[in-house]
Amino acid sequence: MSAGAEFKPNILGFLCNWCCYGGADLAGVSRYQFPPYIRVIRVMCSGRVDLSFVLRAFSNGTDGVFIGGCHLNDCHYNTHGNFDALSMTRLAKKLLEHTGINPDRLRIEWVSAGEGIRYADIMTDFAKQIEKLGPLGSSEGTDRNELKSRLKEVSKLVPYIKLVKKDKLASHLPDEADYLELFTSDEVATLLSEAPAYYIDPEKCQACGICLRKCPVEAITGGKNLIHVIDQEKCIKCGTCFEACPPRFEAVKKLTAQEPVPPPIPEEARMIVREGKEK
Amino acid sequence: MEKETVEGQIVDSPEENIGDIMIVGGGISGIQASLDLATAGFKVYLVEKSPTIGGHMAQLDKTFPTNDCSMCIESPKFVECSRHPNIEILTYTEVDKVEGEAGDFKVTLRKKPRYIDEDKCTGCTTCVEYCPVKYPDQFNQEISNNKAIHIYFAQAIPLVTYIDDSCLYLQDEKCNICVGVCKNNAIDLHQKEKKVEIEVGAIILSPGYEVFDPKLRDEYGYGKMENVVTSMDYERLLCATGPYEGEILRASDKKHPHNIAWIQCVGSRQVIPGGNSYCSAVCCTYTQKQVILTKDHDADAKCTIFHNDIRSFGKDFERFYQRTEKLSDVRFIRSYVSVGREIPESKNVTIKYSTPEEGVKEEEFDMVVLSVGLNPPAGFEDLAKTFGIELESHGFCQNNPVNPMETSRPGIFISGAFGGPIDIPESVVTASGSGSQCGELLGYRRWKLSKKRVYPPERDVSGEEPKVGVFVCHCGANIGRVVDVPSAVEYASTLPNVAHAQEQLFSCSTDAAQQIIDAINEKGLNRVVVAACTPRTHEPLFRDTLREAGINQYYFDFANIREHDSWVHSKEKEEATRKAKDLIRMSVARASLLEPLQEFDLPVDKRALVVGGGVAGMVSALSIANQGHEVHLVEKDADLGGTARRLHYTIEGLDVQAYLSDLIRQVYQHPLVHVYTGATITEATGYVGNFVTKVESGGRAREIKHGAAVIAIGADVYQPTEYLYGQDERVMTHLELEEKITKREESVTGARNLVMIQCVGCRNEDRNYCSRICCQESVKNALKLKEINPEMDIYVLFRDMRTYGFNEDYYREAANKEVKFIRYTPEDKPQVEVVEEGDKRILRVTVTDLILGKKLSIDTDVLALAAAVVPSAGSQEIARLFKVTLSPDGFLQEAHVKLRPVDFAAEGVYLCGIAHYPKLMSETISQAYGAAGRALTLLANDTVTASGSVCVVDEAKCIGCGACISACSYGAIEFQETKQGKKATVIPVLCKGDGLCNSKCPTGAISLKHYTDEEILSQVDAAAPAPVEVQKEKAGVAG
Amino acid sequence: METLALAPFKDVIVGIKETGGEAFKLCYQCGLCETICPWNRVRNFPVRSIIHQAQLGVADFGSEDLWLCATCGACVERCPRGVKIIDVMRAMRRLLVPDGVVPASIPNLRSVMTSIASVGNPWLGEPEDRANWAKDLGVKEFSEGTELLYFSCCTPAYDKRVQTVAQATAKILNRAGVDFGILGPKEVCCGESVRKAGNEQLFKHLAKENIKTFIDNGVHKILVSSPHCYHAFKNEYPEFNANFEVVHITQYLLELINEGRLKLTKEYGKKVTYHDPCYLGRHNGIYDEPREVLKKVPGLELIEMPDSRENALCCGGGGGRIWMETKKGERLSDLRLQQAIEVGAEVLVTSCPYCIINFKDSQLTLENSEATEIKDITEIILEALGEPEKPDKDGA
Repeated sequence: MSAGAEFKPNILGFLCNWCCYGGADLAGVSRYQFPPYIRVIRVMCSGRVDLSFVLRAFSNGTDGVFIGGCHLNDCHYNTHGNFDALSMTRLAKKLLEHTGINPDRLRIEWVSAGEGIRYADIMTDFAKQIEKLGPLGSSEGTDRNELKSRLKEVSKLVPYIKLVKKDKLASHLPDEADYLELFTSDEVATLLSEAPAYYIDPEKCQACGICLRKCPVEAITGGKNLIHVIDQEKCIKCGTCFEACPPRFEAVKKLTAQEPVPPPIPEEARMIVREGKEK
Repeated sequence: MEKETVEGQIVDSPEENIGDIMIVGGGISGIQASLDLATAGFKVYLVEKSPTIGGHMAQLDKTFPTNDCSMCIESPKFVECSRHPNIEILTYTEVDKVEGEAGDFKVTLRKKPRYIDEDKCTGCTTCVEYCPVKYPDQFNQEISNNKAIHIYFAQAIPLVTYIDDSCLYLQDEKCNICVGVCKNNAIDLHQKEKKVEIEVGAIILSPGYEVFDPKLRDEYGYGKMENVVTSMDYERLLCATGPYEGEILRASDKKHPHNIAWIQCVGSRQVIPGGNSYCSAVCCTYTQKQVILTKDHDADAKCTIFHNDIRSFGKDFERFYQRTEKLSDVRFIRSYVSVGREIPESKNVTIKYSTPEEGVKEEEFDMVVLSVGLNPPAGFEDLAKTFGIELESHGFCQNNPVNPMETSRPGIFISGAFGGPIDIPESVVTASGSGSQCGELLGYRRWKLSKKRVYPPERDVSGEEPKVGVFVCHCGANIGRVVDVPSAVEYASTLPNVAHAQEQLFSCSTDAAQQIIDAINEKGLNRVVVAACTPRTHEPLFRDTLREAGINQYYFDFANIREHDSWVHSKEKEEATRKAKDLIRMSVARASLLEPLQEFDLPVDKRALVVGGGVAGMVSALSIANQGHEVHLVEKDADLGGTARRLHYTIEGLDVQAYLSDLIRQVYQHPLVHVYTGATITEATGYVGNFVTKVESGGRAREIKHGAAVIAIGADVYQPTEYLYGQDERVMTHLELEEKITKREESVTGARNLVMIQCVGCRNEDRNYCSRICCQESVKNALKLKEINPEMDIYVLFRDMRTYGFNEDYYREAANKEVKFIRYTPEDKPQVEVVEEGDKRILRVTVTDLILGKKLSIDTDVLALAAAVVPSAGSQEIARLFKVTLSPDGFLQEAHVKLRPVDFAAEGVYLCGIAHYPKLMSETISQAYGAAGRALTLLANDTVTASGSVCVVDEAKCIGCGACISACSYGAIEFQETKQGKKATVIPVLCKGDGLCNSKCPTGAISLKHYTDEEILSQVDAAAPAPVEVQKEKAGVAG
Repeated sequence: METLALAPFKDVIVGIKETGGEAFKLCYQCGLCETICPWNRVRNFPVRSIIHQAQLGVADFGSEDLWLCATCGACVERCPRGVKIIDVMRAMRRLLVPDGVVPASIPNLRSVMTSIASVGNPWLGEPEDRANWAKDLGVKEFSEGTELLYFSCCTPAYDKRVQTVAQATAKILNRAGVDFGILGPKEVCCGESVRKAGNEQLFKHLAKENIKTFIDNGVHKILVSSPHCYHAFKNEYPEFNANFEVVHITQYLLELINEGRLKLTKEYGKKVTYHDPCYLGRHNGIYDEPREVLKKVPGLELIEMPDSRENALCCGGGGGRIWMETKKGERLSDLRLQQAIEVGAEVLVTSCPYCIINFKDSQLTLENSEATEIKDITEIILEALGEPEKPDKDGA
């Protein structure tokens, strides 16, 4: 195709060491030719491919991402790493769709170490597919930087998403077809729209430090007799602080996406003055 | 050389010259045997008569049926050998005398003068440049020239020069330039032959084979017509390191041939003087390989193969054959041929062939390749005399059908093609097998003479800034021909953190390894990136290089610019070069973040589990047990014996039942073998060295702990649905026929006519493979029947007679006994019908005779079907339990077709027998010993080293959500109560390093070492498309 | 496509085996024989299928093909399965000539056989004329005590075109002072080709007759001009426990020259190429003696044709073909003569009467072949001997 001629897609591949990477090697030793677009990252198992890797690749402007694993039930590891990869991919596709990126730019395939020719065929086919779609954004009709910033937003929510969809992401369905609707567009839409925020009510906070110690990402600042404050930029919405705050204080509030997060109280106003202490 | 002329002073005192095993012949078989035995705790002398180890495999361009680069898969083993503390390599050395007996041999060796001090020579080859004498290079089949002083080939071990008789000084002291130019004074033109005496307990002979010399039969025109070459010549022509750097050129005009003919069975399957009566077994498939490679070199090349049967009897050979056949302009013509004449002007060669349809035709070809067969090794008579062993009628080693690695002299074993024409995997199998038998013999002295490998202390570089060294490999021309290596190097040196970048001809060669070590030390590198081939085969080698240089091995990263680049984009040099640069950039980014990891030793449970109580399982079990290891033998049936219980005689005349009952007796009597019959395996867990398998038998469940497992679950026989099988009692499979023959059932032995149909249920869409043994089986039963009832008329209806190897002799014998062989095609299969004539129900077989162009109808009393061998019903379940893979045909899939034929990709699990692929009993036995030998490389050791790449938890980040625990299927993660609540923690021994938990963890608390988010994201970012204009800039640099 | 039921043909297989053709069973139909057989240079001759027919007993005995094989032995030399193809051909012919009667369908052969049966030679020559060629050469009749019997073979004895061969031989022997004689009318055809043509009965008769004559006359050593006689006496007569010392003229010439009994004094400045007769070369391994002899001729330049020695191209005269008609354009001798011309030979020399006859026939029909002389090796040697020093010695 003429369009493809000048457009040279950038494709990133994550191949599992035991099957697909072996298949890619075999394609090589067998000299099966295919377009020179893919750049391969070797992982031990396709299940190691993290949602954030995929999102990062696209926000970097990569035109297509490929994930290659062992055939289902052939996983070198206790036979389900590739199922995990499949769930993650289904979710990722929905997220891409949501951010306005054509989900076909993300592809997952099963290639055994004996299937050199299959790997070459898939590479050729995927290259054609991406050539058709053109550079990232073009088929979407959205500017790259716009997509980039949207992806940034979604990426921030990855920990939250992982947490909420924990069980679904670990599901092993008997039939590959069952995965198609594992995640629905609406589901993902609500998931993102209902992402809560956590806020510490300065009135109630007793600066006990429990939440501060438990926060996995050090998003909470504060200290002895200093009211604790959540840095919304750092917060991953895991809710650990909410769980940790002693019931008798009830200082940490879970706000819905609709409720605006009040601004943090100014530094100077954070000192707690306890009555009776002056005497 | 006359012994008298030898100044035989003994060097070194014998005390230092004591070893466990001497292996004679440094081809792939000798190399494998050395590595297995050395790893299993024996001191090995590897004796090779040529200047380097490697053998014929080193000369091959690629290997079938995967077309792996031969040198690329073999050379890492050279290096392994040369680095192994328990292997002493003696090249350019021959065996003079062998005295003593099993357990105590005294061997006298003759070290031929190399005229080089091996310790001083650096292999810099300055001397080669200055040497004035050009002479035909043996390694390149004398097609191109080399110097009188030279290195045998680029990856030679030892990588030092040697001086040939063509040297002017050696001839009449005319020249000694080389001595002057050698900076190391390594050249000693007065070196004398030395005698060395060593003492060993056992000997393995792996002298390999000699290629048939077509000059013996002048009708082939070899040596007379310039453009007639042998297949070995052609291998070199194809090879990137060959006489014309991988260009296929004609000797006459140095032009590319476009119309090439291959002549099969040159020197094989012929009883004429000079020829060999047997089939050389490898030629059909290596020819197909050469055709495929020829089409790679020149897509429009016309290739014609003249043959009488295509013998694709090996695993995946049938598909390989079809792949070749489907290529454009490739013709397989069923006719032996006569070489006509050389056309004076063009030097083209004519060939006459004959087809039943068109009679004799004469065609002209640019080049003719003679597919030469395999002969016994050179000087096999002397060899036999020196070692005091018997030879069989063709000059190969006389061996025992129930132990093909055993010679007539106790303590001396053979491996490889010395036992008869076989291919590489079988050579490797017999290597491990003979190794196992040495182990049985010398078990008591294991680890007595062996040494452990010592590495220099590891430099602590944690404080240092990353200093990455980048080494870009040409791989001969494999990469260099496509990727612009110099510009890749130049580009690499511009990347952040890169302190050094250089190119290398073969990064896998020992001198290249030394370069890397030197660079690390001189330039203070603390990270290394090698841009070459695939980490799946070569990573261990380079990690080892780092350890040698005192750097943690995990500071290494591989950029695969061969399999994933130059080989798959060979037509797009510029794009391939760009890709290579990207891949290097990604590797460098990753390398900068790599952290040092410690591997840890796990104890090895000394016991073994053998699954399957057939011949394969029992032989394997006994061999392991005879080396002092407890073996649990699990059989699903009520009795041991497997398929062999249905066999009664082999084609060589062995009484199978007698052998089998003796084997079963040995198994039951062996104190270390525990047998479980009627048993099922319900669960298999654990990992290399520490497996736990649950077995139910006799109504009770046991838990068996073992360090290694051998899977030998056998196979089944196809139940035919065709040819009235099951509808007419006169139609039967060969196993059923054999049963009736043994019982002397009149209905069979008294038959006047008996028809056999080959390829029933395989070589078709459903089962696209050849069952390998059926042709032999039909010949075997036909001969038996003729022996009982010479009057019987036997017709064998076949597609290709695949009586490979020595079985060809039995094929001829059957013909001589008037068994009639009629060829049919799959398009026009034989028709079988029952015809009512009066009260008679006649069983009538009709087949089209291709030679006569007529249909023949045979009224037969018995119809025997050569039914396919099919994977055993249980194989999928077993594969699932032990996490091993099955081939597309459903047989067990070995780790590497050529070099790891009895290993699984899963460590600590091995395979053998017909579960791997249909094979003869003798082949099964070889493989069973082979599996035992491989298992011992593990069991003989007290510990096995586990990877440092496991998961670890950062407690501060852990919120105890448990996502990781549900993700891990090895139970390697559990909760632990801490002041901050329950936190996940990893049990490293159980962690397999798949990293599933890592991608589940919301907070990034758990991470897989060596594949951390940071490391992988750095690759993702480095792969990111640079703005277009910058790319142009780089391209500019590249150009 | 017609369907053959194999059952009825089993007797045929037995028949072929009984007549000595069981070699067929080894054939694995590789087709090599067909690529080697000279007939396939001029016409189609499906050797492989004839052998395969024999294997199954479904031979087409009406076919002319059975009579085509010239028993040159080229295929036998190379057959990878070691099938004695000639034996199979001969056996199948035998089945057709059970009682010595050749089917009328085979042109010429029948009359030739009748001639041999009645007068002991194929050319209907009178037995008493058998020695006519030797008139005035001072050749004595062989008698008890004569050192050497010269057995001329029927063709030089009767055929004017090749009588010169016998005559030259006699003259040479005289010049060397060899004590030899001939049996003339007493001898009959050696029967070699008769046997190959399937007439076993007649062959046995001839053999016994000759053997009787030889013994009665006290013959020990026989010199022959024809490789076919050589083959019969050396390899076939022993079947009747008759072992005579047999020597072919080419061997004997070399012997005489080496012993100095023949002095080759006269220049013979010609380009000569030597044609190996199948029955001297392939069948009996005599390749070097004739060449040695020729090399001793002063001035003679010996050149080789493309197919020589083991690969020599047959003239088409063996296996009884010499008596059968071969269509113009299908004559192997034409090809051979052509080869001689192409290598620029002035003389095509050989040492077999059949070959000479075939070549002379070819010369009549083949374009611009007149220039090339057809000679027997003895004729050249005789020339090279030059004039005897003392005339009186001649014919003593």
